[in-house]
Amino acid sequence: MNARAEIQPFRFAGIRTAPARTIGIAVVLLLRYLMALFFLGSSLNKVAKGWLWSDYSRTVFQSRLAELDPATFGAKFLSQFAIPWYPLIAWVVTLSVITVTISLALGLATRWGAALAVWLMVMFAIGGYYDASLLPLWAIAGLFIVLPTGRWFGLDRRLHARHPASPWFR
Amino acid sequence: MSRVFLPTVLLSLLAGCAAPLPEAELLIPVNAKCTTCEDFIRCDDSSGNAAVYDPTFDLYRLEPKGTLAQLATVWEFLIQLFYTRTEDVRPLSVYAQRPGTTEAFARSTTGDAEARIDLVEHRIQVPDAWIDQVTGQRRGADNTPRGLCRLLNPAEGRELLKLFTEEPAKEKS
Repeated sequence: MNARAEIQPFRFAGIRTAPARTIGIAVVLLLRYLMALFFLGSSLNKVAKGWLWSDYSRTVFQSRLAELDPATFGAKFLSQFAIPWYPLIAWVVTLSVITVTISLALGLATRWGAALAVWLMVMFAIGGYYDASLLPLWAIAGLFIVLPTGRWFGLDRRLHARHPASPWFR
Repeated sequence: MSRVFLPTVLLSLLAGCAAPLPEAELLIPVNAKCTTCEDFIRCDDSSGNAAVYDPTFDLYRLEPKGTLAQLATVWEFLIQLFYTRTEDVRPLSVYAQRPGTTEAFARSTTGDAEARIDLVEHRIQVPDAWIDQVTGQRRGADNTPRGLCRLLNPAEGRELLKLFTEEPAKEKS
């Protein structure tokens, strides 16, 4: 297969021969690191607040429920699903944000990490945490699903070379 | 070079982390991180004499932020490691009830205002006054006391808001 040869790794030196491509890739990679930083902040916050070993997440959901209009879908989602199932939700959310952080920071299974980020943010929106700031985050995460950023710069490049048939490192 | 450059830049940025704001016990807490919240603060301009019925009050409705302000929170979240935000601004509507002349009460609504929340001093600046979030006291622009305020729960606030959307109150016979 030629697919491996088609995707060139990112190098700053490429700015001399292909400036537009190099700058474009640099911007997308910068966005990937900013999103990784965003999820790192979220991961640290959840670990520091003890989401995995306390009922802190329930307190968070209950205070959000108090802020919402009871007639909204978000309020019903929180009261009938998130609050009764808070230990499961806390584990899924915390482990997912940590996974996304590692995936985007290292460029490891990047497309899957980005897809997980999109799914998480959709769940946040459904769960009563929607605001307009999610729109650019969805769009940016969508870029990492569509573009081979992990093979431009990240572990996906090496792992794809070693396991070319694997869908994880494409 | 690029393998070293990006992580180095990110780690250098992390090195200059900003200090968090001091925490305080607030009588009127307002979540400065919530962009879609609606907060209701009721301020009663009471004489302090429980025997005298005074219908005068102001209801401050801190509304959800606009789309652009919500978008800006992505940036605020990213730079919070290096820059401590000291102020939050929320759209505000003020609903006022006063004793009426021809009717029992006179009610008015003022929209398109803004509430500036000082996250260091724990004060909420509203038109012509400010509210101390620690004590609940409201003071005028010249620092004169103008009654006490309390945070209503959203359901209570929405219920009170109905007074201002219903038909004007009639004079009691």
